[in-house]
Amino acid sequence: SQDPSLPEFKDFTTATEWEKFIASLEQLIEEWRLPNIVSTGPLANVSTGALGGGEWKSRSETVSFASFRMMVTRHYLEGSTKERSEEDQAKEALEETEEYQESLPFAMDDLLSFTNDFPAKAHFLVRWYGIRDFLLITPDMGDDTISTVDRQKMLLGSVCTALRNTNCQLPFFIQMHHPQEKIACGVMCAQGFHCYFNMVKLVHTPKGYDTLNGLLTLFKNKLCNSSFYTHLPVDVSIRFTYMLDDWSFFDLNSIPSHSLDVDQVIKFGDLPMGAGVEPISEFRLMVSWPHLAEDVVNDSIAHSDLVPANAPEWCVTIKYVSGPYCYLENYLGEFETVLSKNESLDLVLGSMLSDDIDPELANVMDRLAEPKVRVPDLAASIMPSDTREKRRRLTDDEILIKFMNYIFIPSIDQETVLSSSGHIDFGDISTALGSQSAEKLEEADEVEKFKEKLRALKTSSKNSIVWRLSLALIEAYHTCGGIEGLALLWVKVVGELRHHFERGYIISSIEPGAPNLGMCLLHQKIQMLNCCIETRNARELRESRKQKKKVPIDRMANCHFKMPPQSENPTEGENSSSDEDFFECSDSTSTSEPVGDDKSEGTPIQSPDDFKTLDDAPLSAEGRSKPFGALKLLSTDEQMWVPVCQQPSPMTEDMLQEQADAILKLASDPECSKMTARLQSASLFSDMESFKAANPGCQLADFVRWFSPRDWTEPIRDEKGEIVKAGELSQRMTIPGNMWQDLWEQARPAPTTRQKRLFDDTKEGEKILHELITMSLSDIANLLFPCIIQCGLEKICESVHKGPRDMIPFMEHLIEKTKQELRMRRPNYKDLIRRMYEAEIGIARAESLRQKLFRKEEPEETESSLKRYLAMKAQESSTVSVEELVLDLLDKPEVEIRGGAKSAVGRAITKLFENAQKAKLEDTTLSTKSRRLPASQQFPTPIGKEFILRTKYPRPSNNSRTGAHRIYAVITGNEFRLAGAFTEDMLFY
Amino acid sequence: MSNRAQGGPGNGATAGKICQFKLVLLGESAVGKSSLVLRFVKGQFHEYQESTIGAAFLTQTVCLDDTTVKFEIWDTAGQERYHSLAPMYYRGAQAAIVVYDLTNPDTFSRAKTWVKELQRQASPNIVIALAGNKADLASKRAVETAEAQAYADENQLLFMETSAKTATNVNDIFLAIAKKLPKNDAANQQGQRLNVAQSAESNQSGGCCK
Repeated sequence: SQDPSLPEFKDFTTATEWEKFIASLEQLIEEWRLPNIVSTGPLANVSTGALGGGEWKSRSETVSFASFRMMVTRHYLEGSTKERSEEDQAKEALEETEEYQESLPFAMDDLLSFTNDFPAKAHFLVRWYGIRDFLLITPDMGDDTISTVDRQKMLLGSVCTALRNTNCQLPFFIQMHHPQEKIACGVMCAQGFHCYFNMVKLVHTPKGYDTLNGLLTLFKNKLCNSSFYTHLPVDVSIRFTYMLDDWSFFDLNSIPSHSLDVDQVIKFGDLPMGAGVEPISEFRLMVSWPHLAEDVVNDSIAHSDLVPANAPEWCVTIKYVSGPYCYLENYLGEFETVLSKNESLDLVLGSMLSDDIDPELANVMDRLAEPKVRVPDLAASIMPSDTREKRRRLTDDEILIKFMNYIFIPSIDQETVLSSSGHIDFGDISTALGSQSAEKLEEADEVEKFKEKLRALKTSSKNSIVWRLSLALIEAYHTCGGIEGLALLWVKVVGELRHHFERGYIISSIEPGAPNLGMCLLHQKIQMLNCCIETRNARELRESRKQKKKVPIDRMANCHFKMPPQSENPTEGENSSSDEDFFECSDSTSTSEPVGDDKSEGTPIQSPDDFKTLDDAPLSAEGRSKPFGALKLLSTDEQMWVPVCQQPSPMTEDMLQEQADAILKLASDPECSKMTARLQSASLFSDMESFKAANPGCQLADFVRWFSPRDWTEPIRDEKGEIVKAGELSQRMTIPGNMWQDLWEQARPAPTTRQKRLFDDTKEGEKILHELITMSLSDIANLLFPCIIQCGLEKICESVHKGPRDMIPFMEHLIEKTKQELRMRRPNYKDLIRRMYEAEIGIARAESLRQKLFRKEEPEETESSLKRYLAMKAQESSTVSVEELVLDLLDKPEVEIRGGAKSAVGRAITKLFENAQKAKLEDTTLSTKSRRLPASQQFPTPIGKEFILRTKYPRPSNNSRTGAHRIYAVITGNEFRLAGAFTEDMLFY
Repeated sequence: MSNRAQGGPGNGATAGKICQFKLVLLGESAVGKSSLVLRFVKGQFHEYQESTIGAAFLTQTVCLDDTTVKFEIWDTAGQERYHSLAPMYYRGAQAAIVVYDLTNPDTFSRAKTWVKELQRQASPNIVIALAGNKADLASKRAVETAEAQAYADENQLLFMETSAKTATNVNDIFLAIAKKLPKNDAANQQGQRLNVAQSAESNQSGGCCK
């Protein structure tokens, strides 16, 4: 229509607003290249995802009618329409006349098509008319609506004109009234047909029109003004929707509950999980008769053939409660809020702390160690009695002791108890699946694999003291008075740690040795405390030996805690048996074993053998460890000895960070390398002193030969063994004023025992304990969270097979994410908890669905064993398919049930509805004790009925060409809606 | 230590992002670790670089397309006595350069043990580069390029022969590491999602009623 060769011509005759509006519509249609649009072929079946599942796109622009702004939007299913190519256009021009007679416009074909009747998810116009590409006008001015008939007619007329002028075949709709009303009217012009779309919406259903028969009468009346025209063949599609949203008929105990019962035994390490409310709000069954001839079924007020059992197609969909309350999420999320609480312990505990806590507080362990004596006075004396509430409180000594026992006394049972409870419990399902035990094993393997992965997290080893500490503290937070309980227990725990530290008791159930930087900070700190304790014990032992064993060595705790032997009778006094074995005194020799590359400070005590060899060495030599190969000292030609050295001070990651920061600060200094070297030279200096002590008469070159052999060049000898070239130090070692020489000169011969301690155990231990007791709540929570997160993840992983299909990759990703996150300085716990919540919801939904669908069939009495066997077999196969259904429901918006009512899944669903019906009936009449309800009563009244009636019929006169006509009717409790599309032939009338 | 968030501050969408990486140098003593770092960071070379005590820390920033990569470099002492300290430097490091002296085969076998240790104990996705230093002393070469290359290929290491003295390949090896480091953490953030959210929203429009 636009020929560029013509000069631009402004047509001043398009003067009225109406004409301008039409022109702008036409312009838009041209711009979007819609006049030549054709379909790409018939739509695929709805189940393979055409209208419902395909990718819908839209494109919008505003147009104005005078000052009334409107939005024109094209909604189209990607790929379902295309622009006609020019060749096609030319070809069609030739065949035009024929075309006109042969086929209907594609939008009309869609109106009559059966393949896309009830899409799961689509625009309402698509749902009602089955169209694939259309335009829609909506007002674009706030609350303005098109509600008057004259406006509607005016717009419809404009649209119609525009469509005709541009020869665009797409249906064009005008949205009427408020968008929520979902009322639109529209028109389509193609091949000389006009198809008018119109709607009726009523609140009450006119009597009789909620049945197929009523609607058929209506449809025929509209078409040919005579309901008696019975030969008009009408094709029908019907869909009924049934809904369950009241789950009260389920046994109460079937919904898992986790009540925080005050008197309940505190279950440490077993985090609560699952939904606290029913996570499924609605269960909908859609049954449809996709393609019926009108005379096949009878559906009138008096009688209806339309019962679910007869429906060939079944479809199920689920609605979920959004953001259901879940135990784990709540448990973790609540605690997460502590992260933002910067209050100090003093502030929280107030006056409680002002009383001197140190001397008494920590003696719980003492009392535990004394068999049978447990005087509950401690906590009561600290807490004013009037603050006691009915809630469980840590002021209750019994409870405090329970907590402290859990934290500080490792129980062997714990490991086994936890791991046994960790097994996946498939309950009824698995018992029915005897043949599937292999699969179950596989799943258990998978869970193990997850746990293995979890072990790689930067937390603490499972059931270590840090693990137990974290879980006990979060439990205290939840059950014993929130932050107060948390603070109180923390103070007690730190007190207990101090007690260990001061008495020289190694803290048990944590790997020995220097802080493992792969573990969480709290883990490292406890390890560090142990290092301090061990070091001091070793030192004191040494000193006590010097005093010729004046001090009995029973204060020496064993370096490596030995698990108490498992009690034969675990129920009897878990305390008493472990208490007695708790502190094993070390054998006097056990710590004085020569320490090779051990983590503890090298013990300078020499074994008797060393003393023997010492005899022929100069008496002044001290602190020898072993001869260093066959090397001889350069000047004295004596055997070179490896000295006993101080091990470098163990460090936790925050200490390392501190040191790194110190070095970092110096990095700006030009003299930095000197400074940083000086900062780190203490260990080298100590080694030099030890070396000097062990090798009297040695020189720097000797030290370098041991310490840094690559800085020494061996002498070159000729064949006779004569030295041709003397051995020499590397040049970098001989630069005047270099640090190594400086240090060597300053170093005095001194064995480790007389050196300045590299590792000041008292100072470091005090530092840690002080830090712990002066922490804010937020710091404490940060220390505890890694283990808590891991425990939560473990809990989820145990149920990983109960979740939706993509649960396993999801968890793998989550664990990977957690791994990264925990290595961050400030992990985003909120995000991790949110992700865990997602998993928890997934599992809860799946479990809830299973519970509903796996209702065990009551065994029908007096059956032969063969019958029972067959029934069991049947149930077995049904279990599999119902499980499939559960997983499908979680994955897809709508799940089609193959075989409908007769399939195993169909039976399970029928049963579900039937049970709900029974429960309802029992409420009113107690007489219905019968096993089965009649088919007509198995289901409640449908909450929605949808009918689609369609036919081809010539209109407006008998001489007209036949066009497509369709009515879509939906009847729900509070709505009766008809959406009609009626075609008129504009050429032959 | 120093488990810093990658991506650092100002992780803007378009504006060049800054990534911070911890890199550690390991290797036998006197193979030229400190010299490599000095060359990379300050462009200097000292014939007699003093033997490192403990570890030294330096930083250097390189630009890579639109990303700024900041290296926090931990230059460790090579003496055996310092071996036990090494884990605290390579722990949490995203990259490591294992250096050997190509005039000395012993340092090459020591490098191999370092690689093994890193593979076993460092973070699983650490980028390891192998540097055969002192390439300027070609006449005294004792480790063949092919041999080292083959070893590097076998263990998926970056490999270059470098010379801190002549600056050959020094910047290159750091750049190669920067390129290999993952910088698109933000893309991973989305990652896997459970169907939970999706199915909740799909419920909105389904169904004929309400």
